[in-house]
Amino acid sequence: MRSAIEISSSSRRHGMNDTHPIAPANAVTEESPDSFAPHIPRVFDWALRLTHHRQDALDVVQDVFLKWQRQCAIAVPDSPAAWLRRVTTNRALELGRRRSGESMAALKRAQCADLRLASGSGPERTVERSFLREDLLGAMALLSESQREVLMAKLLDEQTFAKIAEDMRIAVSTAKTHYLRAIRAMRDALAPRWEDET
Amino acid sequence: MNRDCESYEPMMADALGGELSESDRPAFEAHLDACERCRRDYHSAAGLLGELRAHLETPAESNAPITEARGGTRSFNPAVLLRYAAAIVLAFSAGYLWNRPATGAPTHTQATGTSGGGAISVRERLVLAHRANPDASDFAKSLRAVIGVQPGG
Repeated sequence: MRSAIEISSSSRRHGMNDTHPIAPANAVTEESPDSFAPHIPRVFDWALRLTHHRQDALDVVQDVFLKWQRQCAIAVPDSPAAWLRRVTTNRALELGRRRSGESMAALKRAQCADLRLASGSGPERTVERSFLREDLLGAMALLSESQREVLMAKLLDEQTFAKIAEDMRIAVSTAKTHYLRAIRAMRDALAPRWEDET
Repeated sequence: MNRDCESYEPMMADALGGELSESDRPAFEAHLDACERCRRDYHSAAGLLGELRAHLETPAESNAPITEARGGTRSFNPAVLLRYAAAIVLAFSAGYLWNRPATGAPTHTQATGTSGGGAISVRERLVLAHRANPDASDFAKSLRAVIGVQPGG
């Protein structure tokens, strides 16, 4: 993993603000189409919402930046936002899988498996919510790429089906079908937990 | 899912995606009232989406306990430094109170009663004893003189 200093120096070459890795660029209009700078705040926000961990989110931003560079060396994506959201989501889910595989998390899961949790905000509730989070992200990882892309566009950016369909170059009805299938697939994957809690 | 239900699938997607038009709403709600399967499908999907949205909210920096569990950086808290400072001051104060000299009773000197009055230190008594008995130059003999035990006595 590259350090923040390396990223910073590399970022300067690519138009990223050198004072803070997530600071918005001042002059978006002057950026070239392959500049990563205008997208940093949005990518960081997605990553933070998916990981709920600032350092992980920064790691995701760095990885997305590297992938963006490699992609732009070939061709700038037609819909940069859609491309970035897809890559960010996938990277965050990979990171989530790695985290959930850590031994401490497994231990905590075993310890908390039988907890009957109140609706309060105690530490047990916090731990339980983090496990539910892992389950949700795990179920999300089971979706097809298209299903996940539509779902994330809706959840992260509240985009309309028309816009999603345009970005993905699919029919609006197809976007709606992906959306419904994504929700139902996740619901089925989470059914045991869902039934326990309801 | 029967054919009638299938025809409501786009409306189901719109409803779950927050895009159900006002013109479609009555028909969709009427179908949910009539079809228990679609009603359950809709409510369970809406519940899952609510949970997903809640988990995808931007977390506040201050309530991220998992951050610390994963070894994230902790911010500097001046209150913690103040607590440490207060603990050090209390420790020194307690030490002072525990070891402070009692009134009129010097701890580092002892009344001699044999050296012309007044109080001299143990060190001074050792020096005086050494001078008075240069033959007993080792520390044990001097100490014996200090505590008043004469050689051979």
